[in-house]
Amino acid sequence: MRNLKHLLFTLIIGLLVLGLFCPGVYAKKNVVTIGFTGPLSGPAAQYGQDNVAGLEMAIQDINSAGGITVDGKKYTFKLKTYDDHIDPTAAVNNARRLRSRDGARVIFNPVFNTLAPLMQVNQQRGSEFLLMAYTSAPEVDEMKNPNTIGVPPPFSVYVGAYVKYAMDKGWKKCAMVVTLGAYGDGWRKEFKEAWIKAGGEITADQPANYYTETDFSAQLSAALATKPEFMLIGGPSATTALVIEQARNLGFKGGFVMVDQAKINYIAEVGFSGDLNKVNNVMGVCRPLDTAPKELMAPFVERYKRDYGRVATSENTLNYSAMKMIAAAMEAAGSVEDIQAIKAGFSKILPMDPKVNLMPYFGIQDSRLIIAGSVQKVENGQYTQPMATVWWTKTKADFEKAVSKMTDIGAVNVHVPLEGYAR
Amino acid sequence: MELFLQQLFNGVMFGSTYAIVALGLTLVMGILNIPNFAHGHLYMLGGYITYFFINNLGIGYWGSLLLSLVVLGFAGVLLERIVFRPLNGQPHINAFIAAIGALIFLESLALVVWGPQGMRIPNPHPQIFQVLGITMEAQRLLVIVGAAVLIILLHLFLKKTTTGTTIEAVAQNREGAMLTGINVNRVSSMTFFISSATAAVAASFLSPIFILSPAMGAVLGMKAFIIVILGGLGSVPGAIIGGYFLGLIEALGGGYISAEYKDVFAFGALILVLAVKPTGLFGKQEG
Repeated sequence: MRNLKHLLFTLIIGLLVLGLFCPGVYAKKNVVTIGFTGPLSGPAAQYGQDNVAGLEMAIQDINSAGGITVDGKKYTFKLKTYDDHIDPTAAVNNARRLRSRDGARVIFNPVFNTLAPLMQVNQQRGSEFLLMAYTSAPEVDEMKNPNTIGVPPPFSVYVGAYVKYAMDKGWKKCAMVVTLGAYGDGWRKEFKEAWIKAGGEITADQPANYYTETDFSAQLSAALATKPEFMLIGGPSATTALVIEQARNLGFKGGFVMVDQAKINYIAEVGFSGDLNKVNNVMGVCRPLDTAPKELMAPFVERYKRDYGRVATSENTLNYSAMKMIAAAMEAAGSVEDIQAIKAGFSKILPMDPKVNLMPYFGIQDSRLIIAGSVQKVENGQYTQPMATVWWTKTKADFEKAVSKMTDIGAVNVHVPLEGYAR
Repeated sequence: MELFLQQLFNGVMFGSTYAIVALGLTLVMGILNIPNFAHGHLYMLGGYITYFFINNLGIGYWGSLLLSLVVLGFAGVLLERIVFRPLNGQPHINAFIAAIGALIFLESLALVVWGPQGMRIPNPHPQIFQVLGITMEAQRLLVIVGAAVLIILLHLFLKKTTTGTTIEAVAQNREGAMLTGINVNRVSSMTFFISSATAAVAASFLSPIFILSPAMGAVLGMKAFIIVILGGLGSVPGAIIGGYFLGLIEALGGGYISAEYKDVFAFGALILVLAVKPTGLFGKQEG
């Protein structure tokens, strides 16, 4: 009797241990895992979590509508996230784990510093994955990685838009106080080249670490001493708000243009408790509310505020849209695993009805999704009409053709062909 | 000249904060002989507590500052009681690891409770003065004056009161202090209270000008360590002078040469001082 009990006990424990080693036991049928690796703690935590939030909302919507149907089978989605603190080694390990243990074929990552190493491993035979790159760094396109899709427009689009805006204003002298790091360095270099080429002058270049510093008086005093008419600033939104405030307190009356990482609506809401007069004469990437048809975007912004208690930014809206497009592309491809087919699916489904994917994505070109780059400024305490830059067409005729097909979001469409992209 | 004065003003303001944060760190260092790596994170927590009193309970700025001082002081006492005291008499490495554990705990706590997004305390003194061509914000002036007052009060407390001198006694010779009947554990708790309370004051002074985030403690904590090593481990005047010194180096070096190299100047100064005087500017000789 005692022996029997013993045997039974061993058997049960043995079964449990066995169970631990086969994750298949837990996996529900027909669930597609979407992976995410990115900063979820540390100085860039908010950025990472904003990205995740967009994906979560999209998956919630897809699943509650019954999931997708591929090859006659129903599938739902689940999101698996890992923290990498922007450490390249951790990011690669996370991606490998997501691919092999969680079975994710699509993995999101939002930082160029970790995307570059991920692009080294996403083509390894037998463990390929589709890398959804939420970065505006144009280097992603130069790497010509077939298993990558860039989600936001390349930041060069905004460089072009700002140069046009500042030239139209008649400004000549620009000072730069931009965030340090690969991303900020890229911005400084491109903007400087484009501005000088257009006939402008850079009077000061005083980069600052927006992640570790909170006082920019040293840089700003030095920059303002050169009497610039406008300044290129920006990094994470919260710190960018401090830069604006400190520059104004030091007596700067000119204009600001901001790198695409800084979000004008976030700065106004969080940095200045909603007082738009504090961001007068500041131009940046368009606030989410004006980047898609209002009747669709207003409820989204509301919902984000309600569910996450934060201000919506393009990290939520673009990732939300990207996730929706992945689901549609899988249906179009007839596969949830063949990543090349899924990628090819994007060109079949775009442009989509914004009722489904919210953002007015236009198409896909190589490894980059195409969407107009909208910028906007605040004047007299009010958001002005956005300026949507069409950058992927070369000729005027193609530009007009594109505009006629684009979802109308009430913006002024301008044509700024981007070298290396416009065809 | 205006630019120079402006940078000087910024340097002194930063030096003031550095000085009070480093002061708290050096006190604990002197008493317990452990580097409290979590000190910067206590500073961060102080900022959030002030935020809580102002935004959630609607208490005024000065009231919140005082409450934050008391609450964080007790948080420090708790930290000493739970994390550090059980490790008394054990190898130093244990306290090191415990301090790092406390640091990770505090940062995650802030992340869970307040979320990753930056938060702002409305500036209670938004006035701006123009003096000699330089711009002075009232809140920044307050930081300078407030820090000076705090440092003087703390100095008087340590030198002129019996309770204060017990702290010095324990710092100088733990066994000797015990023999004369000083309750060393009580002194440890008290030191942690003072150390955390000063961090809360620094955080409350600065948070209206800056933005609160869970990661803000790490940077300041590290700077406080540079200062304490620069000034001499456990030395109070060393921490104060080191604080102002670092603030000025950063502002002048950053403003005149390049902000990109701001940290290079700070660490460069540290290496230089250690090369010439390995015990720090005001450090005691070992042995």
